Amino acid sequence: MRRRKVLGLLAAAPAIAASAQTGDWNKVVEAAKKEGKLLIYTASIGSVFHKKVINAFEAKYGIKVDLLEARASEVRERVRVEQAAGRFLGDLHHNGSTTTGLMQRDGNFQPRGEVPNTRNIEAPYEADAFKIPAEVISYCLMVNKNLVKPADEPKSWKDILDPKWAGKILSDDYRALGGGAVFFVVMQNAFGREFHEKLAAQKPSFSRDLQNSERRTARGEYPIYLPFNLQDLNNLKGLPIKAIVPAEGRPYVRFDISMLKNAPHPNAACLFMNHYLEPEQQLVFANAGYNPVIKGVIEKTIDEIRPLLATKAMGTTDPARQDEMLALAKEIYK
Amino acid sequence: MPTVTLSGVGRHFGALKAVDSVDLAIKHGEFVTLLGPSGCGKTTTLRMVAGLERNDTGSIAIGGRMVSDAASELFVPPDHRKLGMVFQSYAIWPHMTVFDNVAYPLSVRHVAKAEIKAKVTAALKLVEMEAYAERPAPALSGGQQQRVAIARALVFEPEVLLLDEPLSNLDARLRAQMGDEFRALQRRLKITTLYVTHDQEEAMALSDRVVVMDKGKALQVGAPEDVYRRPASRAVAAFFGTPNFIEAKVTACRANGTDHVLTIEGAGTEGDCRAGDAYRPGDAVLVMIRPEDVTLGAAGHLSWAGTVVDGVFRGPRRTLTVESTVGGQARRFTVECPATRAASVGDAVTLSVESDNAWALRS
Amino acid sequence: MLVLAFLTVYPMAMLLYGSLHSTPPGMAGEYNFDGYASLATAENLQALINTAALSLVKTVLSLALAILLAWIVARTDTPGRGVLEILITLPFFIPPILTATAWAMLGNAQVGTINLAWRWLTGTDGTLVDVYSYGGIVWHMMQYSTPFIFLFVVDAFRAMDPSLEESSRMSGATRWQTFWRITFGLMLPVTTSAFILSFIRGMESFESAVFFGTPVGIKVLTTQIFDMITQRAQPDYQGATAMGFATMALMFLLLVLQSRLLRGRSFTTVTGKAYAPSVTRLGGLRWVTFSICVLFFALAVALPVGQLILSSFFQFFGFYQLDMLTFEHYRSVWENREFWTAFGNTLLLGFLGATATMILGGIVAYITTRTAWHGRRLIDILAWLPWMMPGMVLGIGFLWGFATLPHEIPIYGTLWALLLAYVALGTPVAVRVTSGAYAQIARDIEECSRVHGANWWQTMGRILVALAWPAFAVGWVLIFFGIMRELSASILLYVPDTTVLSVVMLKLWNSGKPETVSVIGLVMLAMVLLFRWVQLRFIKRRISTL
Repeated sequence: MRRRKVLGLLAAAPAIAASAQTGDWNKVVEAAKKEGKLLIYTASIGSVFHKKVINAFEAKYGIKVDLLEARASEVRERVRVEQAAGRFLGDLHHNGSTTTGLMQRDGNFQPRGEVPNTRNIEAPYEADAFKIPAEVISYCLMVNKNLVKPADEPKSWKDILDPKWAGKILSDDYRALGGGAVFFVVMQNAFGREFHEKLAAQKPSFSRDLQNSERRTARGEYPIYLPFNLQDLNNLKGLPIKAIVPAEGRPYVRFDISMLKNAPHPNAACLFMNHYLEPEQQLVFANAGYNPVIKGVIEKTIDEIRPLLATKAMGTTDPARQDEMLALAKEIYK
Repeated sequence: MPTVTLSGVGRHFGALKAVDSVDLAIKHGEFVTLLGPSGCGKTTTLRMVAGLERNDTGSIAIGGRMVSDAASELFVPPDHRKLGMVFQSYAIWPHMTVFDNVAYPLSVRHVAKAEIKAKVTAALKLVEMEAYAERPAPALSGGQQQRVAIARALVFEPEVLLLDEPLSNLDARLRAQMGDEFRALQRRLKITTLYVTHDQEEAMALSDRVVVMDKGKALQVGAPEDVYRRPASRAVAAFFGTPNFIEAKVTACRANGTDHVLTIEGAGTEGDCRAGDAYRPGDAVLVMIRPEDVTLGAAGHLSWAGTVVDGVFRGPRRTLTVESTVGGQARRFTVECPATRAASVGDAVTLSVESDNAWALRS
Repeated sequence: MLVLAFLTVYPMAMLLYGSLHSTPPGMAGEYNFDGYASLATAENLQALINTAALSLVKTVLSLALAILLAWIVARTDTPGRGVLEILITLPFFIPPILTATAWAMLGNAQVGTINLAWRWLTGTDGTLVDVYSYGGIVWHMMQYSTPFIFLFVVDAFRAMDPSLEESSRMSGATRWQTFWRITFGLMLPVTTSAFILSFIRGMESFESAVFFGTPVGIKVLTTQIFDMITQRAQPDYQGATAMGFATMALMFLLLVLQSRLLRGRSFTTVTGKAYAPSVTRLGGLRWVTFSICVLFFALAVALPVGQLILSSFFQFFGFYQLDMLTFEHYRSVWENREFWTAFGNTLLLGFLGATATMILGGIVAYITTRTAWHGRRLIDILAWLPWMMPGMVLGIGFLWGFATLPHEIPIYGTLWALLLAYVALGTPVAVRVTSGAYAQIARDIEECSRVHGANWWQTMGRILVALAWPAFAVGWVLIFFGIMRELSASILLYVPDTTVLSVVMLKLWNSGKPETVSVIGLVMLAMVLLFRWVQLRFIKRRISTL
């Protein structure tokens, strides 16, 4: 109850902040409108929610936004080659925190400037001089309701180690970058190697085609699929499936937005970052099943999603140990 | 002024001289045939005139214009040589109608439509194919295709017409008929023609002059009768039919007009024969006697006694093989004689030849 | 020649640099052989063996099937062969991911339709088929390689002078001996080309392996490369490009083998002499051949395409309940602005790209097959290069190559980048298709044109291309739809204005909209049907005049 109140207070904060330094910020907005254009490189391919947020931005400021979508490593390589060749085309870069971190190390970004809404960011997420957190992908379990009776539903991550699920688990690959690897790291940190050795004995089937895996589970090829991207729930409305966040919580992975080096439209980029952190825009993501990165949004989320988001964040991947973890996964899951 | 001049034209494939320094001048309206066994270089020579192959030595001029000169690296591509050509396979383009095939040389030169129509119709009329104009080309018989190929070669009124064994794909009767028709057409149009064949009879019947080729060399150039009756070498002589060769020695030689009359002895006979060159007494010669010039029975200027060992009936005539043994040495003669005068195997006969019909070559 | 070098050698050189340098172009690093050294692992060896075996099996099976089908369609009086000809080739034009999805639904071990039917029929709980296996990969690849080879060889069969076959029958050979020793023998340049193209394509095939192989641990070279580029914290471009070159070296051996096989032999079957293409009368047997075609059609086309059509009208792929019937997917494609931009771009690129590629390929093939120029072997090899390099590696080569061009050359970030990449990628097919066709045209057919006053270009256009035009048309269609499908290079070269269909499809697929992808797949299929219909009408008209 008390927590609610605090959150409510904080939610009012942006208005105060904006008015405190309206002068500077108004200059940014004006300059952004003058720039009139924005090019965003994103690894979030085909996301309709992303589009929604962009459309709102275009409508509000009259700044045209172009999206260049490709897979994480492809986006990264394009940015790298273009910058090496002296072509500075993109303004913003939207990618998973791991790739973003590596690119920051490689010097692909420039300081983003002042973004007022960063003060609303909720821990454990945080912004730095180059990037802001954008939205968070949460991973949980998905079961086929026709094959898994309510009584049999896993309540804990450890429940999937029950021998009755042997050969019945479909999973994203832990030995490759992506949700599977995040799941692997978080479970390793929480339960140790023993968990994975037992899971390996369950002989899970691996597939890297997430959307198709979800469909396969919905059609009854497998009763359990993991780790399930919570935001995919929207695409599966009407199918006999259920998302379950186990008691220990949900592994997650953060997407960041960063400003590319020598961005041709830095003010528009800055404005867009701020727009992205507006509560209405974060709510778009939250309603879609992403965890928002600012305070006071989860509470407003639609009923079917809210309980799933308002769960414990169990942990995320660690870029520094990534190769080590991938190697370990290869060792355990032959 | 000659229409086609070849001087020192050669084509080499590595060490092999496919064509070795050929000289030839074709007069306007003349019909010249390159004759020789396959692989003798005749087709390569024709292709060099056409510009389909480059000559490695010498030069070629057509209509007084140099079209290819190895020394100065001049080479006019085939489409600028204003030629007509009939290929051995006819090379009728299967995706066009007869009309389109014949119209092609005109249409690629952007001749006006109406003119094309008139000229193609005229060309087809010339080969009596006007009724087939709209036929698709592959739906023709071999003879018809050949006519189309000729019409196509003539339609542009080329400086020179080149033909590469055009009759070889036809049956014997059609071949003779088409040959005669073509010869008549060529005479009428007075079109300079270079013709390639390996068929001696065809060459004789059609040509004003024949070039006998072997191993890349032009062995002899002359009117068909000259080449046949007065060959320059054994190789030329042997190319026409199966002549009999008799080795002999010259005992006397006297001039007779442009020719010479030799008195020879040896090989079981003696008498006179003709020769192109002067010989000294004691020179060894080879006397060529055509099988059809040998008569049976009556004594002539040169004669042999022998026995018939084989006879083949050929309808209008009969081919006999007669063996004559003189001084322990057996000699076989091929004799062509009328089929009705029967001499059967085993009969003893006397062979005789007129002096005029015996031609001496250097041995 | 220069164009070809720019299109193939330049990106290859960038890749070679990438494979020998510890970092990709534009970054500090050193030259070493680490990329190549890192390839020598047991896992990669296993992947190589898997790849070669899978590709060989599928190529041999497809070749046999395709030749049989081509012979049936082109040389026999099998009923309905005109329609069959179009239908047989359809699977090639369906995006692989869609057929893979369809087959996964039909043939998965747990609840696949085929297995459910089998269990119901037999009353057992056994599993008849499991597409997640070697067999599944081969079968899925065959659905692409069979129509591909079929398209490649069918016109060669059609154009053959039947007297060559007849003389074999007259020499006492049976129909089978004739087929094998004469028909097949004469088709060697075309069939070996098709075999090699298809085998190499198989070595580079990605979709089948990743879809059906990865879940059960079957690794192939392309999945290894994919892994090196996209599945590691730090993409290993050095290793990936090195593997690309290693693969290329292996495929090169195949080419040498082919040229040895074909050396010094003549394969002219189209001559200036009269012939009428005739068909073999099969009698009652023609119903057998008819059934073979229909069976292939049913398995490779009707099942997956039926699945696509069905699912395009339902809310979810594979859930066929009446209350889920919807036109939503069609509406969403219709209203998708990005789809129309991409569609327009792709059509433009397809038309220009296929046409330019056929022109370039036609010229290259002419030089390599009909001239005695000394550099012709080199050109031939150049034209092969893009085919031998796995697509996802070559895409990187194009990115590196085009991005690092001087800024004055406006290629990177424009449609030109995509167009040039597509032309390079399509040239090998264009060269193979046209040189196969040229090899069948007697030389004097062409010389005759030159002598009668046509220059080289006129001869090319009015004689060679006109005669080889069915092959040109097939090549054009193959390349056009190759362009519509190409993703590896597209995604690295497109910018928002120049987005293309394959990128849009990837986006839709990744956002969990396989039904919408099906709709686009069906649109593409409709285009194929239209193209093939027009094309075959033209060919028919020509044949009827023959």
